[in-house]
Amino acid sequence: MTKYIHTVLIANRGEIASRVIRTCRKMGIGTVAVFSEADRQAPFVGEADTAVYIGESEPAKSYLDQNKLIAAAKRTGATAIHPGYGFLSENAGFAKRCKEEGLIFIGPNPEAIEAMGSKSKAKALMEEYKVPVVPGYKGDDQSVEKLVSEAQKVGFPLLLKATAGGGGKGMRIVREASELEAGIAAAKREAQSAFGDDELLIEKYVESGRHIEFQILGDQHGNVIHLLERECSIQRRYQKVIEESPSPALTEDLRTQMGQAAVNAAKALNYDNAGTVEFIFDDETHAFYFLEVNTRLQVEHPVTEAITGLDLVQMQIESAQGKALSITQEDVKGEGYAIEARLYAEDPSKDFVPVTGRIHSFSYPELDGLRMESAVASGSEISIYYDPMIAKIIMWGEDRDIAHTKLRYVLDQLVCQGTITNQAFLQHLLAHPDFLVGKYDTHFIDKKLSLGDLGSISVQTQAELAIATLLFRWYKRENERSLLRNLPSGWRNNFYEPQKEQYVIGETEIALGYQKVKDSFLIQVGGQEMTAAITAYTQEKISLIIDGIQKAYTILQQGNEYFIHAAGIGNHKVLLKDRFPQKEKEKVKGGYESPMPSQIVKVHVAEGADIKKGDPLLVLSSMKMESTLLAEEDGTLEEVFVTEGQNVEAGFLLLKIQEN
Amino acid sequence: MRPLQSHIHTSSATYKENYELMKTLVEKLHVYLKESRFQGKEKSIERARRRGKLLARERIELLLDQDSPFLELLPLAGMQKKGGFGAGGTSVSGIGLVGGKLCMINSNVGTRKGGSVDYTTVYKGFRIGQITRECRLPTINMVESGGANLPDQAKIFNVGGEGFREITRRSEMGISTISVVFGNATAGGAYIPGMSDYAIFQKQAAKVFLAGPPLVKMATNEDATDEELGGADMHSRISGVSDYLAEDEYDAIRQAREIMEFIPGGEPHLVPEGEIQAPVYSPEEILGVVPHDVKTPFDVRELIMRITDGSLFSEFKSEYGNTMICGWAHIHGYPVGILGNNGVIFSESANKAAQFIQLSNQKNIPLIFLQNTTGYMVGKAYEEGGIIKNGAKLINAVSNSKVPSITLMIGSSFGAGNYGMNGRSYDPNFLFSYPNAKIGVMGSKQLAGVMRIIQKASAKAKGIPYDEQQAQMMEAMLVAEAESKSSSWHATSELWDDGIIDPRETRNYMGFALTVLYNQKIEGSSSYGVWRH
Repeated sequence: MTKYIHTVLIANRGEIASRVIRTCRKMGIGTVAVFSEADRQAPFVGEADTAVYIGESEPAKSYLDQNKLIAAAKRTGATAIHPGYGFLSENAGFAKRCKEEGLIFIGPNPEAIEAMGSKSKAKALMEEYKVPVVPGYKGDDQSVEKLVSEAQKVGFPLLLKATAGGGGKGMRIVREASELEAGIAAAKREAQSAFGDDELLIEKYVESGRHIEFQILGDQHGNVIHLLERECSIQRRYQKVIEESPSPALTEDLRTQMGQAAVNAAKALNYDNAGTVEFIFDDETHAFYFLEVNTRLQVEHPVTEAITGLDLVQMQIESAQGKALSITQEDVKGEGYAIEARLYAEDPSKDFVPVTGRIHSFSYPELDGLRMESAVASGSEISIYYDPMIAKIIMWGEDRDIAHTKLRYVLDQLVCQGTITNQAFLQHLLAHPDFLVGKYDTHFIDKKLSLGDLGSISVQTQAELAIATLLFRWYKRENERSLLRNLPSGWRNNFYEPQKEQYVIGETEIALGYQKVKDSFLIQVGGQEMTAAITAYTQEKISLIIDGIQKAYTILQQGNEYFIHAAGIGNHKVLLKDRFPQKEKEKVKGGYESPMPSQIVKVHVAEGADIKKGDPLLVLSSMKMESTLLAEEDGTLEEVFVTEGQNVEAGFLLLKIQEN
Repeated sequence: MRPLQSHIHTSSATYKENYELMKTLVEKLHVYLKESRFQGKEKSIERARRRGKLLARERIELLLDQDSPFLELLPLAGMQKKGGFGAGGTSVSGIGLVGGKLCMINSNVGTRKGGSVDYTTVYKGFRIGQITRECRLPTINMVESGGANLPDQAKIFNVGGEGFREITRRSEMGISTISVVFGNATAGGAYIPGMSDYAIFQKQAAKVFLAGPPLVKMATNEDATDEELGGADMHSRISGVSDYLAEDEYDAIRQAREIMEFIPGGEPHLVPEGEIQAPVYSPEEILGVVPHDVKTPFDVRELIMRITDGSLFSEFKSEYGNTMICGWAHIHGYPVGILGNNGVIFSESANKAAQFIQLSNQKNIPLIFLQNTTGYMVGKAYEEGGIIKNGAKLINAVSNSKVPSITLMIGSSFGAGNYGMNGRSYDPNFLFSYPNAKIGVMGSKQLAGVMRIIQKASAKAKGIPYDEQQAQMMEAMLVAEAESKSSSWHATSELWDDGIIDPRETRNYMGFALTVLYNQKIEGSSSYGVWRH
């Protein structure tokens, strides 16, 4: 029986909320957004038909608070909830709760979610349904003989893992039989000392593994199909950065095999909505093994939509309404090629640490085949509370080369000013020769890319940025002149020295000398002399010829910061130094400042406490990452200026230690 | 108004030759200007750097608004003065924008002779003071001076008081003076900040007292340090001589700029709006147009069309007294009456100019005098024609004219022509010279010739023989002497002008000066002295 949905509450935020709203509108379904304090001004709030404020910025007090979400749905007459991805999307309890409250949960049945919650149970279930899983051994017999014989069956290389371990701890790769016994002994020792339990499990180690996933879709009538694969091997910090389809690694034959395995996996779960079956694919042997099922709509679903022409959110809603799938496996045809790049507010030169900030301007060129899913508009804030993804850039093309070329163009032209992003990193990655030919695995970023250089800006680019800032500022001043405005700028009858400005670009201080000579400028920068001229000017754009090359520079001023974008150099920030520098404020002796905008999670120490160097003082959380502030010297804690739960800006004085 | 038409062929040999000769003179000017930028021996400069000090000219650059034009005045004063400190003395002075307002800036060159002032520097200060008062410009003094150059003290002590008097007179008129003290300002020099409306003292640097430790010890047997007697801290916290305490040089200059923000700007008579046309003929061509040799005649309109907006010129009485060109034009949008000589002044020329000056006064339009005259015409017919009374009429008009004026020496400036055309003693607000300009009672050759005639006559009268050979030698010496004394270099060294200019920059100089002159109400004269008709 079909249960029609008239209004959907979207229990999520950002770009996915906008995405769901778009399909609902297309289908004539009303939308209710929910938003936290931090998202008051977010674009998705305005896009929904109705929006409900659900509390403070911390996810636990808003987007994760089931009571508030259910209440919001009731108040606004929503009959269904779309969970998006993340937050409560794979929470079986929430799916159940919706059902109990008489709301349709747009996602799979709670049992399917629950079944995938435990990795070991999931593995057993898959083996039962003939879905290949990573070969290995897990059992009570922990004798060395047993482990050796099981290891021989699995083959090399293999992975010895502490059963009690996790997060990469207590893992050991064994590549040859001769290393096996010593390896087992060492692994047991490590497991014992780390976890107090020396039980090991053995797994096949996939040396060159690719992460390939299949989109699946089921209905409540037992039909399941797959919508082809997505290749997601390009990852950093175990998170995807680039997704593409079709995978450069798959043959048609492999695609059929894996697709069938994915459908089998879905059938094993009685899967009745959109989901993703993830595989690890061995590049050398072409074997593939089941990893897990994500029981939600994935971030990268637009890649599949781009090649299949389907609307996955629409299909999710239809399945949730109890409709049977409107297409069969034979109808699913991939056309052309699609790639998605995720633009994050993060610093690739510092191990991709998330950063906060305001996106002062965000714009990109219109291109056929481009789909931009952005969470931001010019002026949006990247807060410490949520995932720092700024946008997903999806590019479709007739083939891989065409799409790549276009994506690289978009990344070159994309203006995203105000905060550090991974834009330059994405450009660097996309230009890598191995990536161009599709030769990569999940270790690609770690192994093939040198990230140290990403933060550094070439001397030439620094000069270009400095000159663009200089002339942008000059032009503004020139326009505001009143007295003596007909004398040449900086006119001297007894010339002594050029006019000066000073900037900081990255970590580098740059002093410029300039002199207007007729219609152009002679500029001294970093020991070289350059010439430049202004050819056009608008409020936010200035066209310059610098040493014979003409380009347009998009420049946005925020106080003494200038955010600059130009083709070929990307987005940068130039800091103007005051002509009259203030004497540096002396740092508080023994003071500890917040290194970045954060929330105080825990204060470990009390006033008057004796502190030893290396003692944990307090725990800060920024963008879901926690860090502990350690004492740098012995001393006595004089004063703590913050309390737990307090939010602080970068540079905020947290506490003071009277050093011994 | 129609643009003037040039009759000069820029491809002609005479043009090209003249261009090259004038260019040589301009290059000479730049050599002297380079000397004027000397800020002391390497050792003193290094010492200043070590102490984190900025040099006098760097202070000016930092004080000025970004990109502000700066008109340096009297940069070559004293350049030929024997026993003096050389071109410009130990101060740099000029006009520029601070906080968007026109102001006079004086900066002591503390790294040159300890910033002590010689004869020229004192007189340069007087001239700057006069301009400051007449143009109602706020002043910013950047002080670091050891005081009077002792060998010169007899020549400067008595007159020196004028500098202090001027500060307070301007204050009475509502024209502010800000003094920023970066170092020594002792004894008499202490009255520079002392008389100023605003005094900014730099911490650990300003030293302002009437007598230093040795003199105090001598006079009263008191032991005291520099800081105790005249440090910035003491003056800011105890004596109240300093109004603002600055952390460092940057902070001091920043504070001076801050004060300027609250000092009202002038009340401009006119601020031109809209697009301003450049001359049709390039100012670059002036080098080929204005003869390097003052004896070569040229049509002054050829210069006028290279400095006025759009080369436009509304000529007055063009058919009458045509050795005197008169007319109105705009420069940088400012209306201006221009008088230029096309040679010797006849009665008609003088009458025409007098009438033109009256008309310009009636309409409150400033005047520019382009001096290139050998003087008033002599001879029986001209005396009979009353050249004296007509010349007097012109001098009468110039003397009693009340609109601001600028005089530019572009060639000859001989005899009473210098007076009639608003020479130094007629107090033009600004007076500049081309490097080729000549000034004197008459041309040096004429002078020698006249002397010869007189000596011959005298010898004859006394009945002694006239030694032709010795006379020729005397004559050559006389010519050389007169020639050097009549050169623009000598004139500028003697402070007879406010600077020698590169002729190609004429329009910029005039535009700058007019901006300054138009920065206050202009009211022309309606009454003149009695003249003969």
